[in-house]
Amino acid sequence: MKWTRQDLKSYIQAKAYVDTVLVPLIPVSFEKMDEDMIAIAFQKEVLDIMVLELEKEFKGRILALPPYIYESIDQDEVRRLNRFTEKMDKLPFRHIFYISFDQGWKVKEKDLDGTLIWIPVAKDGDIHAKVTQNMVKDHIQQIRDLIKNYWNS
Amino acid sequence: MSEDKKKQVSRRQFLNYTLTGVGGFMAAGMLSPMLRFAIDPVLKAQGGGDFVAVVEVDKITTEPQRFDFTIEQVDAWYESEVTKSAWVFKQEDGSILALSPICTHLGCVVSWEGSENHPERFYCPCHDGLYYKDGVNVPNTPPTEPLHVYDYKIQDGMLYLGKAKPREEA
Ligand code: FES
Repeated sequence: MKWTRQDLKSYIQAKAYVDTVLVPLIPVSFEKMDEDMIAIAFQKEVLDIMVLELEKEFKGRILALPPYIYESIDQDEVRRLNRFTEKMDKLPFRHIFYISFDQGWKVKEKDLDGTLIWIPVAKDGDIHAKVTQNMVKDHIQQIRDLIKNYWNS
Repeated sequence: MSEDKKKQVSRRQFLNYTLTGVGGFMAAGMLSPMLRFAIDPVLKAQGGGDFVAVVEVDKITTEPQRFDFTIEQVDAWYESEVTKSAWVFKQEDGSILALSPICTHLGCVVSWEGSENHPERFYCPCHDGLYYKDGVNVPNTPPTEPLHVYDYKIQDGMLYLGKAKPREEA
């Protein structure tokens, strides 16, 4: 389910069945080199598609949140994300997944309260090109299996 | 005094503009269904209804296979291409059954033999929903109705799919 009026209505009816949240972690910063800004914008586009597809596949069990925006990853940012996660944890969701292409989170993984799904997304490409599409499909397939594994464990 | 008058005029002007705006909007609203009404039959005839070519009929086996296809979807804001899927197979009497993969419980995507523990069933990974091969939900699993069935037709050896509809009660 998505963070939309219609889907949230369904969510409220079916809370007991929706035990998983998916939080896309998206960096937004102007204090970067031009190429780096372009790269994170591209990576964000790719991540959007992945989240969309995963939500479609697991509509009845996953609530996909709007992006969680941050500027840079430091201890303060880790605390902020954990505070946000804590509130969801109380709801209760059994599985809280962050999804991100940022290595910065990978490094801090052990300090995070949710489960990080880190995907090494290419820094450049054409979202409409066949190669990119195949790469994205491949990633989606793997994340799908990963999520199912978490559910079954 | 004169200040006040100015204000009033401008307020009336403002109202005027707004109303014209709304009126124009309403007129457009009235026009567009009429236009659509006029254009629609032509479009339909060209596209062969809302049916989309999906797969050659001779590729369809008695084992359900998943085929993807794209349709144009128009909502209030965007026109977009949406990928749909169907589980298609030949039934015992030779007729074709094309099932929607959307679980009737809460909308996850089901797959044929998606769980090793449940051979010969459609399986929903979200809450272990099960369906028999003909799409009917297995009692005591979360889904409460059968998988929806696509309208289909065959033309020149191609399978065309239309809309997925709830199974009619037998
Ligand atoms: S969405 Fe398929 S069993 Fe719940």
